[in-house]
Amino acid sequence: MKKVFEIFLGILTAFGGFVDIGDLVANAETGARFGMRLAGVVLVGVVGIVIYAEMSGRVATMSKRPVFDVIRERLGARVALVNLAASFFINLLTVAAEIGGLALVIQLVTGINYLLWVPLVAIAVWIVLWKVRFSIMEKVFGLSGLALVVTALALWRLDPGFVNTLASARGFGPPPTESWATYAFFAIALLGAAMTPYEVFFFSSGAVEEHWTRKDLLVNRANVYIGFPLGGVLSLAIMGCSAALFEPRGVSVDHLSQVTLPVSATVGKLGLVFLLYGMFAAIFSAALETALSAGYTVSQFFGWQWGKFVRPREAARFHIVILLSLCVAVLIALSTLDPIAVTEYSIVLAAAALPLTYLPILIVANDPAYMKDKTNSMFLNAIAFIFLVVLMIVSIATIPLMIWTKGGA
Amino acid sequence: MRFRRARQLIALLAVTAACIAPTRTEAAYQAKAGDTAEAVVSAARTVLVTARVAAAGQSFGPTLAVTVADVEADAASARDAFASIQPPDAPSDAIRRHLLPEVERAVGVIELVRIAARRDLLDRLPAIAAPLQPIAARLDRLATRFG
Amino acid sequence: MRLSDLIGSVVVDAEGDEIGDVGDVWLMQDGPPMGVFGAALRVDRLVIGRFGLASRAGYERPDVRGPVILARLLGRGTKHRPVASWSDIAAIEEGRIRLRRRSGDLERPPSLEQPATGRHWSAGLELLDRQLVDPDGMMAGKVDDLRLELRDEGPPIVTEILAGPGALARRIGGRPGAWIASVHARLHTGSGDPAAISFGVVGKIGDHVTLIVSRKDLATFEAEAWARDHVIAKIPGSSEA
Repeated sequence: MKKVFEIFLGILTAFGGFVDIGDLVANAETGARFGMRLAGVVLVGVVGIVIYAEMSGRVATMSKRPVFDVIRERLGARVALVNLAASFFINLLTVAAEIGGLALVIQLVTGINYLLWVPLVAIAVWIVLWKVRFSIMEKVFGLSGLALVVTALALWRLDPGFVNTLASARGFGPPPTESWATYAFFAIALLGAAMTPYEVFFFSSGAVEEHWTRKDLLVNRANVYIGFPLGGVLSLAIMGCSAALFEPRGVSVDHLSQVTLPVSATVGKLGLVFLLYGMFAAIFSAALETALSAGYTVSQFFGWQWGKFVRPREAARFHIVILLSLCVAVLIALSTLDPIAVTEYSIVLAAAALPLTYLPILIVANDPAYMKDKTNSMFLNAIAFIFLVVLMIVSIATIPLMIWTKGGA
Repeated sequence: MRFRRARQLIALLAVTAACIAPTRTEAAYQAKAGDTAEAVVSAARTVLVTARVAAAGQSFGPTLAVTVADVEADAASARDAFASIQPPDAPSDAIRRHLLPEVERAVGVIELVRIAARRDLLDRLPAIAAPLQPIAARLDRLATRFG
Repeated sequence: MRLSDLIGSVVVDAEGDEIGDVGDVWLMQDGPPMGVFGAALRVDRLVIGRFGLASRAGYERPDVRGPVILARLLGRGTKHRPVASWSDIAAIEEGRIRLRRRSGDLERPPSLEQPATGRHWSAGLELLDRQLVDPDGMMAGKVDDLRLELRDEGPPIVTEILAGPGALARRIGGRPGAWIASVHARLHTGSGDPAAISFGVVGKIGDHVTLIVSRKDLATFEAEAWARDHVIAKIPGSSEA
């Protein structure tokens, strides 16, 4: 009984914690520009993150070593350092984006300019990281993120025949007003938003933080295989709301404030409360995860003691890296770059860096020295490999597309 | 996706160059006109939805005010960017003559809506925003014409 | 001499032809006794030929099979690289090793075979970049490099594990390496030598290297202690879990 409850809680936490500022921005913007034509990409992204997150959790559970730790061993110091540099930089951008997003949410509630909130939000994030236990932190913010379910309600009210709309948008390709290049670029952004690299670092380190053993593999699978796709449904709901309200009007979504309109218009003030609360919780949880990932990746590369499962005194350098990362993120968020722009950069660059992160995981997940008897099945290997090929193509295409479409303008 | 800041940073060169050196072709100018019209339509229609939501009591004052202010900034910067471009030839002058006044009208109304929203006069917003309806329709037609 | 001095060096045979780079060093555990670890590791063979991703991925080992396409692509053909034993070396110069034998005369074993006595270790695959863990389960750094002590009789033995940025810098090489080295030198006034851990305190080598001394007693703990005392300890709540 306790096990069932644990699985249930885990699923809900994964469900509520799935969405972050990248998903909000990418899905809302795409819905307004392309309707539901890119919905398939979200599904692909969800499958991808499900596969690789489960793998990284399994690697950490069986070998007791999180992913980045093993990357250095498997790929050597030089390649791992390149990997670290790229991942760390993108991770920093993501932290800045999440903090900016939180500040924007507070601005929506108070009306006071977001810049004031940026440092306060960062301090709040750090305090939670410092004081609150890992599992409590995860559960509280993850479950609170479930409030975003209100977007599904809003969508149903906006467009009760939604299932029909989805089917009608099955046509492949951009609408006549948009180019294939922009279509592809938005697809990459959606992929990057769904399959963020920090997720696998965090997930595998989290498995060690929570001292998972072989007995927890089932929980791991359930969380990932059920919780994440449900989170993907939320992403699609956000896209759908945007598509239903904004696409017919030729409105393009560039601000978080616009994202509140579909929910307000259909569910009113109460719905808006849920939305803002859910947004805050989901983005806060993402801010915690990315900040921790900054510490995890650097510490695991150099072999330092890391983790919230030891006292801060015992993992001093780990906590310093987190502190410094938050400071740099604040500086980025306070720069003239607006948070939505930072978010857009972070997800696109994340998409480009995905093969770097995922290839080592796939390799290690097949190594019995780490996995004992839980290596990948052939079927899983096949799908994961196909994904890797797709991601490599995406990676190569990203920068040229970004230049060609002037950032999706 | 509008990398607004990125455009202003990387394409700052282009805009400054556009001020110094004229946009070569009428086609390029026309394309810019089309983009500007689209941007302002987007802002205007967002304001219309926001006004409706405000009057129906479906949102909060601060949220609504931020929404209007956000899209007002979009519209204003689109107008500024377009207005600062040197039209290359006589047909472009005509494009400018058709587009700019409409855009100015739109921005003006949006400003009024923002002021009212910040003063929490939520039930008056639809009335104040009403002129945006025909303006947006006209701008839409211009956008389609300019491609 | 450090292991990183050997790995990556160009190997030239007796006739002056370049054979390749030293990709790996095989160690045999039959040297003089060294602390708890037992017999010290001695340099047995130099493996000539760069490490491909395939070796790193473990595809040289028969028990690693999937994903099949990846294994095929990366090429299982990393076996049969020429190896040279220490006695084949005529001279070691800066970045170059000259052999006494001709390239065609060198053995080309299929892969790392385990002899009847003693135990073969691949320095590159099984020692380098491994996590160091102390008896309390705390993490103490990585094996960034190894110090080899040259002996008059026979091949050199591994005497110390080198850890920390001072050691890592040389492995990485190039400009990033030089930058790391200079930062390390500036932070550790005194010798610019990397932190060393005697191999005598190594308990076991498995998927990580277990030490028998607490990490607090290691030279590599200096930076962590500094971070703790000067920053973290000053923040309230640093002693709570």
